[in-house]
This record gives sequence, C-alpha cells and structure tokens, in this order.
Amino acid sequence: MIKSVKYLVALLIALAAVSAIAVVLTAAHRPDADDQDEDEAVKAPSRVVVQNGQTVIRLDEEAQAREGIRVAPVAQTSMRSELRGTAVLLPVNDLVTARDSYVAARAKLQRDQQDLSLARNQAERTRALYQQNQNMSLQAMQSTDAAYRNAQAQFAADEQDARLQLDAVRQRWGAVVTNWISGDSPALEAVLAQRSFLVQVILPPGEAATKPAKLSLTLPANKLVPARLVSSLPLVNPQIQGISYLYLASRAPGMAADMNLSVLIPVGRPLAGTVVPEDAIVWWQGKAWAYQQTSPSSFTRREVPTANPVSGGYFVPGKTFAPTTKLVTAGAQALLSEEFRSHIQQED
Amino acid sequence: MLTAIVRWSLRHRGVVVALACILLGYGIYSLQQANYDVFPEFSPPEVVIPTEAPGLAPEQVELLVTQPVENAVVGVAGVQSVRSASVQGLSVVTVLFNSSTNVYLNRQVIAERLSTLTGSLPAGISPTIAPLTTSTSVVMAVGLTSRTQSLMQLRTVADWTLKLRLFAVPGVSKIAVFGGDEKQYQVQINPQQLTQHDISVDQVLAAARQASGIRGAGFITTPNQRIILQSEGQAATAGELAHSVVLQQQSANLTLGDVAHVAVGAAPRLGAASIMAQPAVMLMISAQYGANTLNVTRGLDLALRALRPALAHQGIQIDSTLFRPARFIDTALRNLRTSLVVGGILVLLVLFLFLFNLRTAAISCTAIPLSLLAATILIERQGYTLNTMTLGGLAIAIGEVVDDAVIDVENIYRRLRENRSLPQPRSVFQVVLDASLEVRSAVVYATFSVILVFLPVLTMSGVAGRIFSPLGVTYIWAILASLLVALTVTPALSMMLLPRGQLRQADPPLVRWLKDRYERLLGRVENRPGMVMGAVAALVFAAVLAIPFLGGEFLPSLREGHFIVHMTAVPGTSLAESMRVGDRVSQALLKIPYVRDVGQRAGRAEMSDDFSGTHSSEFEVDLRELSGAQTDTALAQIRQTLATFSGAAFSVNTFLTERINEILSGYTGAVVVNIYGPDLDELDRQASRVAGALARIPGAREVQIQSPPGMPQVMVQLRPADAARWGFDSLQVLDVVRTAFGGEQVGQIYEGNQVFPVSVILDPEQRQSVADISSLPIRSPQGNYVPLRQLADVYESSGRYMVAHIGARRVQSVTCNVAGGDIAGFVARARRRIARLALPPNVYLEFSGTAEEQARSQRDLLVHSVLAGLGIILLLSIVMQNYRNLLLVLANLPFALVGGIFIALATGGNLSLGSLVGFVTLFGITLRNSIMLISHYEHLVREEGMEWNWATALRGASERLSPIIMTALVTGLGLLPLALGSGAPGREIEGPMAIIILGGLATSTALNLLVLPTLALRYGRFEPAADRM
Repeated sequence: MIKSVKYLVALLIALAAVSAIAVVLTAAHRPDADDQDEDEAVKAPSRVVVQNGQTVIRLDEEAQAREGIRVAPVAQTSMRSELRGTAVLLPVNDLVTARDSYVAARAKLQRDQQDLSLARNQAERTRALYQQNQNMSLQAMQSTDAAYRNAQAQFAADEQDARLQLDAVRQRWGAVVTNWISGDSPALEAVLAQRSFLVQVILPPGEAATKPAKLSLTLPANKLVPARLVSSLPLVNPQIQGISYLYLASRAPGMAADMNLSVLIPVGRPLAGTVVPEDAIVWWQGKAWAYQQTSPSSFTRREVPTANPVSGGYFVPGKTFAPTTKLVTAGAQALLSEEFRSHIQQED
Repeated sequence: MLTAIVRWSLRHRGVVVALACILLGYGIYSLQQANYDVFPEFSPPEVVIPTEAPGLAPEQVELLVTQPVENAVVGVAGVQSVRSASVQGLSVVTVLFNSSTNVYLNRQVIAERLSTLTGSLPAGISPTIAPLTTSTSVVMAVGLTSRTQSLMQLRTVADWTLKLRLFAVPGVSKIAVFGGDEKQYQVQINPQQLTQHDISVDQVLAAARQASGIRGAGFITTPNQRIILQSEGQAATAGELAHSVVLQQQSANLTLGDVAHVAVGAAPRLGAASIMAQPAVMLMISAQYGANTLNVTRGLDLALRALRPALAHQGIQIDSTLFRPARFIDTALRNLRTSLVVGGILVLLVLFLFLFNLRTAAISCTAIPLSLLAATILIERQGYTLNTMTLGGLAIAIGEVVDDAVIDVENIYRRLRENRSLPQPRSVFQVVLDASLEVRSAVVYATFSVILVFLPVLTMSGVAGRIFSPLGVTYIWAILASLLVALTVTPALSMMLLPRGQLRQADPPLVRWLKDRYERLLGRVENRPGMVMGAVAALVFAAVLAIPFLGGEFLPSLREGHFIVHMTAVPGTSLAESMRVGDRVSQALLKIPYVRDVGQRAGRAEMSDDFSGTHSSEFEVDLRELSGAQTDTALAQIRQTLATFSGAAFSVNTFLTERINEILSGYTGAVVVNIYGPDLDELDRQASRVAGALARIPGAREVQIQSPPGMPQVMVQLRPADAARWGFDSLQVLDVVRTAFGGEQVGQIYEGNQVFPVSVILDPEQRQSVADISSLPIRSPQGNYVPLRQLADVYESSGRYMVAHIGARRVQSVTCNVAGGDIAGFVARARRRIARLALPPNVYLEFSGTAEEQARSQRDLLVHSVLAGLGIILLLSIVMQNYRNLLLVLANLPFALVGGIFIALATGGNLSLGSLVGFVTLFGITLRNSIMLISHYEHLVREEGMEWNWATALRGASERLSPIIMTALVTGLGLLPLALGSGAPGREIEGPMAIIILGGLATSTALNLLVLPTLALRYGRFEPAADRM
C-alpha cells in the first residue's frame, strides 16, 4: 500500500513536470527567429531620405498624380504690408456751421474794414479841417477820431473772431480743411455739396504707419472706393484709440455720413518679394512651412516667414523664394504626414 | 444510484421515451427561438463616460475634466482598471469592472459618483454615461447619398428622420452620425461690422438669446376650467432672427442682421464621411447589450425598407450594405450548420455500417439530438447565445455522445445475444439492466475525467475566457446530458426495441472484416514490442522537440468578408485633407476586383465616446462573396494598394479582431507598449524611441504612436497687466475668443419636430487664417475696441492631439501589428530591444495588447491544467485497480499529443487558443478511450474470471475495437467538414481546433488500439476480484 502511494506521488510529480514543460515550451516558442521573419516583413516603401542634412521626400510623378499633389510657381510681386483699419465717413454739419460762421465773420470783417476806412477818412478830413484854422470844431474832430478808433477796435475784434473760427476748424479738421475754408476751396464745396466725403481713417490701437497718399475704402459688399490723403487728424476716435488721418473720397452709392467702413492701410515701403499662398502653408512645431519641389520627383520642406500676412497668404520679401521656386499648393499636408511617418519609423 | 436510475428508466420506459419526445420537441422550439451571434459577449463589464468640453485644449480637458471624473470613479468597488483619453473638446473615461460584477449595478454606482461632480467641472460641462452596447457593438453601417440634395439636407434627414425611426427598432442602443453638415442657425459676426456699429459680442449674444429663447406661460383658472397659456412669437427663421433688435437709439433699431450675417449654416464639423468616394452621411448603428444581432439587423432592414421609397422620392439613396456583421453571422452559422449536417450524415453512415442493425443504429442516433438539444436548452437558460463557440462545443461533443450510446447499445445487444443462446435465458429486464451497468461505471468516471480536462478552458481569464468558456460549458452540458440519456433513454429504447426482433449472432460484416485484420496486426505488433514501443517513444520525443517551433496567436484571422482600414495622418490634418486623400484611397481600393463597397469616415461623431481626430479615418471595405483563399488575396491586394499611398499610416483589420483588440488594450494593435511618466514631453520623446526600436524588429507592421505630438496650435496667452490697462477682466477676453472661434449656442429654433441650435460665431472667412486671430477686435467695457494682440500674446506652437491615462497615470502608447502571426516571439524580441533603451527616472513601460492577453491566458491554462491533471489522476486512482493501470491510461495522452503537434506543424505551425482548446478536447476523448479499454480488461479479468494473458488482451482489444473506431470515426467525420473548411467564415476558430483533434485522434486511436494492448500486457496488472485488497 505504502509502495503504491509512493508510486502515485512520484507519478504525480512526473506528470506535473511533463505538463509544465510542455505548456511552457508552447508558450515560449522560438527563441529567436529573426532570419526567418526577415522575408515575411512587409516594409512600407521608404520615401523619405536625408541628403546633405536635408530631408527630402521622393514621390514619382505617377504617385503625385495618384495623390493629387499639385505644384505652382510662387507669384512675384511688389507689396507693402497692410493694416486693417477703420474708416468713418465724417458728418460735416459742424464744418458747414464753421464755414458759415467763418463766412459771416469774414463778411463782417469786410464791413468793418469799410467802416474803418470810412471812419479813418472822416477822422483825417475832420482833423485836417480842424487844423486848418479850426474850420471844424474840436468836438467834431474828437467825435470822428473816436468813431475811427471804434471802427479800428471793431475790425480787430472781428478779425480775431474770424481767426478763432478758423482755429476751431483747424483743431477739429486740421490745417488743410482750414485752408479750404479760408480759401474757398472747390474741395470743400464738393464736401459740403455731398459730392465727396471726408473720411477719418483710424489705425488699430498701438499701430503706427506713414500715411499713404491714396488708399481704398471697403464698402459693404466689398466695393472699393479710392480716397486721397487730406491731412493728419488732430483728434483720435474715443472708441478706437488709434492714430487718425483725414482722407477725401468721392461719393459712391451706399455711402452716408457716420458710416463706419474698413480700410486696408499699406505700411512701410513697397518691397519686392513673393506671395506664398495659404494653400501651400502647413504649420508644424509652431512655424509655417511650405514644400518646395526640388526636382520633378522630390520635395523639401522650407520655412515660410509669416511677418507679413496678406490677403490669401503670406508675403515674403526679398529673394527667399526665387522666381523659379515651385511650391506644393495641393497635398502639402500629405507630404508633411509622410515626412512625419518616416521620422517615427527611422528614429531610434 | 446508477442502478436505481437505470432500473427506474427500464420500468417506466414509456414515460422515459415520452419525456424524451417532449425534450425533443421543446429543444426544437428553443432552437428556433434562440439568439444567434458570432461570438459570446466577450467584453468585460465596462462603463464609458464621455464628456463634451467644447473648445478646451487636450491638456485643459485632462486637468479640468478627466482628472475630476477619474478621481470620482476610481474608488468604486469592483473596478479593475480605469483608462482615459483627453482630446480637444472631449474627455472619454473608460471604467473596466471585474467580470463577476453586474453591468447595470456598475452603471448605477458610476452615475451616483458622477452626480457628486456637479459644480466641480467647468461651467456647462457635465459627464454622461455612454449607452450600453454589445461586445461587437456595430450592427450596421448605413450610408445616405444624393445627387440632388445638399449635405446639410442629407444630415438633417439622417438626424431627424432616419435616426428617429431606427432608434425605434428593438435592440438599437446607439447611432453615431458621421458627415454631412449639421444644420444650425448662425449669427455670423463680423468684427468690422461690430466696430462700425459700436456693438459688443455680448450685445449680439444677448440679442440672439432673447430672440430664440422659449418660455412657458402657465395657465389661468376660470370657475369651470383650467386654460393653458402658450406663448409664441420667437424667431422661427433666419430672417426673423435677423430682424431681432440689438440696440434702439433715437427711435431707430439696430438689428442682428445689421451687425452680423444671420443664416442657416453648418456647425463646425467634427467628422465627415464618403461612400464610394462621394460625399455622404454615414450612420453607425450599435446594438444593445445582449441584443440578438440577427434580429436587430432584420428590424433595421424592415425599417429601412419602409423609409426607402419616401427618401428615394427626395432623391436620397440608402446604402445598407456597407457593413453588416449579420452577413458574417449568417455565413458563419450556415457554414457551421452545413458542417454539422454533413458530419451528422456521415455519423449515421458510420453507425449503420458498424452496427449493421437499423434498430441499434436508431437507438444510438436518438442520443445525438437528445443530448445536443438538452445542452442547447441549458445554455440558452444560462443566457448564452448560439454562436460559433457554443455550436463548436456541440460539434466536438458529438463523438462522446455517440460513444456513450454506442457502448451501451453495443453491450446490451451483445448480452442479449449471449442470453438468447443460454439454455435458460434470464429475463430481458435483468439482462438489459446488467449490460447497462456493466459499462456505465467506467463511462461515468470517464465523463467526469473529461469534465476535469475542460476545467482549464472554463477558468481561462480575460477575453479568452469569455470567448472560449461557453464552448467548454456547452461541451460539458452535452456530455452530461449524453450521460443522462445513456442512463435512461438508451436502456429504455433498447428494452423496447431490441428483444423483439432477430438478433444477429455474428458481428456485422464491416466489424468482422476489421477485427480479422486488427487481430493479425496486433499479433505482429506483439511480436515486435521493443521496436514498436521504441518507435512510439521516438515519435513522442520528436513531438515534444517540435513544440518550441510552434508559433502562437491569440485568435486566427477572421474571414468576415469585410475589412476596416485605418488611415492616420499627422495630427492637425484637416477634415477636408483627410477626405481628399481618402477619396483617392477609396478610388484605388474600388479598382480591386474583390472589393464591393468602400465607405470612409473621418474624425468623430458629435456626442459620442469616439475620440478620433480629424487626422484619422476609417474605411469600411466590404468584399464580394469570397472563399478563404480569395479573402487572403484581397487582403494582400488591399495592403499593396495602401502601400502606394504616401502621407498616412495605414492598418488593416477585420472588424471582430479589431473589437477584440480594442477591448484587450483600448487600442487596436497586437502589441501595445505603454510608457508611463509624469512629464508629457518626456513621454513623447521616449515613445518616439520605443517606436523606432519596434519598427526595426523584423515583422513589425504599422508601428504607431497613439497620441503623437505635433498638433499645430495657436496659443492665446493673456497679459493680465495689458488687459487691466484697457479695463478688461480675463474672462471677458476669453469668452469673446471662445464665441468667435468655437461658437456659442444661445437658443433653439423649432421646425415641426426638428430642433436646430442657434449659434453665435465668427464669420467663416475670418476663421481661416492664423494671421487673423490676433486682429480680433474686442470691445472693452468703456467702449474701446482693442485687437486681441494688445491683450494677449498670440503665437503658433505645437501641442498634442491627445493626453491618455491608464489607471489615472499619464501614458503614451506605441502600438504595432506583427507580420506572420508569431506575436509571442515578436514580443520577446521587442522586450530585448527595448531593454537596451535607457529610460529616464520616473519613466517606465509595460507591454499590453493581444500579446499580454495571450501570455496571461497561457499562464492560466498552465496552472489550471496542472490542477485538472491532479484531479484526473485522483479520479482515475479511484476507478483503476492500481497505479500501473492508471499509468497505462495516462500513457495515451502523449500519443494524442503526437498527432496534434505534427498536424499543427503541417498546417502552418501556429497555435491559436482554438488549437489549444482542440488539444484539451483531444485529451478528453483519448482519456476516455483508454479508460474504457483498461477498464474493459479489468472487467474481463475481474468479472468474467479470465486470466490475464495475450488471449485476454487480444479479446478485450478486439471487443473495444468497434466502439473505439466508431467514436474516432464519428468524432473525426463530424469534425472533418469543419477541418476541411478551416479558414472559411465561421470556421476560423473551430477549423484549427478540428484539425488538431483530427490529427491527434488519428495517432491516439491507432496507438490506443495497437500499442496500448501490448503495453497493458507487459505493464498492466489485472487481478481477479478475490485477489484484490
């Protein structure tokens, strides 16, 4: 009986050992079968190579056509940076009043001048008669003299008043418009007749720009109206605390006083350069890039300076992109993906 | 007890047969009512908590939303693990529970915990619990296309007609809508216009809110009646909204239309879809937990059929063939049924040829449907569906079921025949009773031994356990039912049918022919015992040596006739670009002759738990009806086509494989390396190194960093001093930025039963250029307009698409698939390679994915196998007279191993879990055969008083020849169609299992019949009853 138990125990241990070895071996599998696996591994075709330290994506023309990759030469242009500002079509009620006041003041001054001249002549004549043997009474002479001094004082006062009228206009509208008033400028007449509008162009707060002689106002529905510089404006708009300039624009349908419009204000000197279209731009690691076609079947990524955003893209001054440069305008993101994918697989 | 059962059955044989008929009828009824599915529910109980956090960046989502949600749920009882993903505007926390927990209770507990978060999350953000779906989740993909209708009209039809109707189909739990333009009433503000009219964004928001707000009005009560008041008049169209007053000055009204463009517009898109490279709307329909995929699909088909004419009238086409798992289930079950029917016919043929008696064949045959139907009823009552696993369990049980009946009938038949030749025959009742009991004891022990063999399968952990345990349960129920049938119905029927007719004295012709040859062969083996045993030992040794050359895979590739192609570009890729590339990929895939339909989905659906970004797409690639080999060719061509595309990483999976992989690791990849650490940038760096190391290992495919860095982003960093100088508080500025670029929903507009949001957002043209962001003018409380750049630093930078957590720890995952299927070998090499990378302090990594699950399954299998082995030995020590005979029984196990291993090597050398289950089944069958032979020897010596010598060994062996060959043939032929069709849809798992069983059965039967008697003669100890103590 004891012998049987011994055998049974021995048998149990043996069975457990055999089972363990068998299952562990099954689980462990091949120790190393790299060579055998080599043939089975399907490697994605490598399209990214490094040439002279630069990453190049190789894509033959067939693949480009299949994936819809299109290239276009960069547009050469001369351009200035632009700021988007606000343009206010100024109501000219106060200008009308100011002009009327000034005209009235001027008329009064003319009348004063005539009165002064008359009073002076009268006073001189009376003085001469008095001095010629007192042909006039002293009292008469003193009266005409006083009338002359009154006329003189009145002229000076009204002259000052007219000057004040102009000063007020200058404070509000600037020197040029003041000159228009004092000089009966036809421009002023056009403004007052609403054939033209005086426009306050306000730069965004914190921005400064050399005032361009001409610019275009954007009416609703994107209609452009040209405007020419009149002068700087001595006041800022309380809502938009930016530097203001006064422009003159011919009346166009849809324009009315107090209307606020937007305006693109060219900044700085015109520069020669290229425009990289928005379609070509991919953002990566905080920078803008575009893919340049370096040969019919290869592309490299180039950084695009973004200091000068323009409508529809970025203006790159200088010769950063040569006139012959072809940039990818469709499929740039696919190329970025391809470059990134290779990067994962090749990095250790 | 056995005696009592058999005696009762014989006495009340009429009742027993009647009960059997009732069981048969009820079984057929149950079969018709049964739930069919491909797999058992294999996902562990889980609760998914998606939280929409509009406008927040991934890091903000992680800190402000995900962390509070994780902290609220981590302490819940039964939680196994918590993982999360935080992406732009969405947090998804997945809580996995222990498999023993109740999924509904889990949801309730989580809901209670989430309710405590009120007030601790950012304003307007509240977590939800995603609907409960089945493991396979999606039951159908439905596409809408039209040549005449806009994408917005398509989306509106999808949201307000199709979705509502399909939700009414019983069993539908979730419908995610991709693509199209979601209709919104938009107040598109133009900063210049606001400046021109001196209006702030807040004024616009207030006006829009006032115009679209809805208020109740209560009721009045007259002496007799209660009369309800209903107030209307809020804006109902874009035109009316545009006329809403923003400001009244000097009797003049400034309206919304004056300061903004008010129109019907598309909500910012999170996803897009195309079908056959044409823009479309796609609905992904998920089934409820425990729903019957076939029934749900049928219901959806009926609903779609009803809707089709009306939609066709509007010029909208419905495509419901894009993805239908039901098609795979149909094909799989049809294939499996065909295999079972063909197997069944072959079984009948074998029974008749071996028994050569219609009555005995009929009695044996009745055991098959009775046992299998009884098992079906039982598993249904346990809540299992009829799927490839449970049907597989039934298929492999056929052999033992027949064996149970054959042993009984054959013995009864023999004893009755012997009884008739006696001068004074005993009563038929007694003969049948004795004959039944004579073999029953050994059969009972054999059955329980086989149940013990299946213990490891039942106790397997994880997904493997959930997939394979129903197979084990079904098998055990079938053989227990078979045991009961053999104890009751078989003796009763034998009693009723056998005594009446003519009993053939001689063996049936086929058996006679076989016996003649067998005895001669056995004699020859007996003459050369050393050589035969040496050869067998060599074979066993060779088989053990071959084991290390077998590869391992968790599940074989499933031939669903459908592939899911993942396309991932760099994060930040726009939807338009994903769709542009996707259209070209679709066109290329459609050129493959095997491909029927291609549908693409990019990004994610609104209000869903899917966190795919706009850079990732999934293509539903549906194949024509193909054979297994053609499916492989199609897969190769698809891979080849995808490899020609640059600009994206592609991976191809079948749907079920993908779902299983997703459940295993949360990611779709055979191998997942999780890198943990506190610093996101450091994790990114290390992930990149690990990805590089993995990519260099031969066999690595589709290496992907799951949340790669490099997501382009623009930072708006407020300068508090500047903000204060202009009179702003920080939140005012941030609110305007959010409204401008993210949009703010202010109300709703009703159109019939359709409700559309009213949203205030920046004019689309102003949202397209990075350069415009800093120019956004913001009105200060004092009425000044200040560009954003005056208040904040606005600069381009690089962020991350997703912040992932596992167990509330920050993690970066690298996934890859493995060419050739040898995942275990690959992981071993990967571990060695990655061990060479020096990781910084606080950073550590773990392997996950199917590889880890496979290793865990095998560990469990090992432990439980040893336990089961000990149990079997103890059980056998009770039934066997001594340890020598017990050893003889066990000696047959390596014999079975030999055939199994050699056939596994011959068919590709990969062992899937299905193959391992095949081995287990094989051991069970083999064990039973050897128990029966050895116990028959014991019976001959002990009960019949024969002397243990060559003649007795020969007689015993030749008497067991017929049942052993019959069992082997019946099992073998039953499984042959499965093995031959291995790889066809529905047979991918059972096919390899059947192949292993067939191979092992061949060697085990041959060695059992030829070598075991020789071994028994030399090493067995059989003593008469009197000699035993």
